[in-house]
Amino acid sequence: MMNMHPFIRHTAIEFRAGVREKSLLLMNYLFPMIFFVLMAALMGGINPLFKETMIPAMIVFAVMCSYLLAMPSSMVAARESGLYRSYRINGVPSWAGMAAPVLANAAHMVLVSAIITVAGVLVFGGQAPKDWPRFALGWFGLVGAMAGAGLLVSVVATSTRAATLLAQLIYIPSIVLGGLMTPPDVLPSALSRVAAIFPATHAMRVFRGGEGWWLSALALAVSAAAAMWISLVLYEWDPKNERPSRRKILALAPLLPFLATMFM
Amino acid sequence: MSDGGISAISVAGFKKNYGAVQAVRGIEFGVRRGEILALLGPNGAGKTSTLECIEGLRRPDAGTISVLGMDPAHDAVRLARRVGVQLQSQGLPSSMTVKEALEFFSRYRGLKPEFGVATTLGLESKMNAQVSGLSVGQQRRLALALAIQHTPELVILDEPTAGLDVETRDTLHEIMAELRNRGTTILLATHDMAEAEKLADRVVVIVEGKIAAAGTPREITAGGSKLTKVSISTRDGAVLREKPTFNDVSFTFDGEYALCLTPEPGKFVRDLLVWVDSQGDEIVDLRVERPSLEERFLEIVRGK
Repeated sequence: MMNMHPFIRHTAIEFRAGVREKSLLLMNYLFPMIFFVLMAALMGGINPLFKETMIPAMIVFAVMCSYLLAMPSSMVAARESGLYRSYRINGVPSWAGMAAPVLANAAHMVLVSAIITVAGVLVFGGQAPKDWPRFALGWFGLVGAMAGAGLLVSVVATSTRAATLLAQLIYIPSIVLGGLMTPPDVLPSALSRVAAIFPATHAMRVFRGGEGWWLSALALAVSAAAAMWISLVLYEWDPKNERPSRRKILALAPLLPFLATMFM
Repeated sequence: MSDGGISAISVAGFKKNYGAVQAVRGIEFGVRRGEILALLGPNGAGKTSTLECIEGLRRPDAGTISVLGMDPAHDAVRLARRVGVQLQSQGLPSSMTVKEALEFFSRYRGLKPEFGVATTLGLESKMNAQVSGLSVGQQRRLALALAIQHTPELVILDEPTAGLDVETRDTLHEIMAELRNRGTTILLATHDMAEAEKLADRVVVIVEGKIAAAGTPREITAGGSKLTKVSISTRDGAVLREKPTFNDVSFTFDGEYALCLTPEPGKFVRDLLVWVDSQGDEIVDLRVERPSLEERFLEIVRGK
């Protein structure tokens, strides 16, 4: 690690924290893997169609656990503990404080996704991805959009409790409506419209393929870029710093690309 | 506000509000290069708000702050190479080791890590210990190591010795004195008056968001209503026996010593020496104790 660029070192330290810290280890690995094994064993037997979407659905679930349940709480706790103040006075740029955990979690998700894909095919008889480039595109879109959503929750939430609550507002509806457990065409049209505002729905559309998948890929990419930029704008070193709450409205802007897909 | 680079820190017309609360109400002071300036004040006086704006962690509501000629709110990354800061409460990644922390922040400054500072601060046996495993005192020492490892021109310390044992506090005082001898400017916020009196070249006392007193520790203590205590013991006990009278001086007697309280110690000691000589006596011990900074500080805070 002697001559490593400080940002790479920073990312490596964040990556290691994802394994060393119990709460992060739980949300990055244990919880999604246990859920995967249970769902693959149970749902695979009950609903044979589940095997077609098992691998992407469990990857979406794992990525949501990492970016929505683990990262925001961890980042808000870091801000509350004064870590970001340390960053500020020691010359760590604000973008680095946000990008390092995002990339570290992405590295964890590469490992988890690989395990789910290999075990899903070999152990649980899941359907392997047919179009690998589209699968990779869906994965990057999913990680980008979820990372963006997680960052926004981190910068908007005033406490770890608020971060958990805000994250649940995305996490729970995404699981119920995002097409992870059931095919999207079984949802009533009103719920389908609601489902369209969640990134998980669009990630599943890209993974499944079919008509208009590229539109969902585009929405994920635009939403991810917007969320990351807005997170940088709203980023604060100190939990006590005054930030006009009306500026936090900006955090809803990354939903616009998803809303736009409803009319296209 | 430019002073030709004489000041390391210039604060002018600085105000800071939190909602309706005026924490700092327009203060003005400078820290000269190479000096130790102690910022004193009771809790809630506005010390930390002032320091945090100087450190670039908050923005002033009015006035200007210049640190090494730069605006700390906008030049944080450039200043980080030239300034070292120890915060009152400073978070560090809990899973990071001491060695990693020293390396991590020095690399972000674009510098090589200086591990020797850990030895100076008694952390050499903790280099591979995680931050979460360090005691409060060790964490404070690590925070100080991070603040000084890059030999900055300016060091800002917010209550650096709070909660530390006597030995560590002494070590820190030695380090601060050594830094000053090397030409480092130090801005020190502290509640420890003895520390300020021992180390500071100048002192600024903030009370209720305003500067209540400023000057050298001697100037500050000289300005109060407290009397200087002069203790004298002579070979033949002339003072005890004759009980002389001097204007504005009160005497008490304790064993072989006469204890005198005077507002003008210089004049009184001169007169006393003449009087003892005139009695054919000889001084065995003479001690002059000015009022302490702590006593004067309490007077200032209480508005006397």
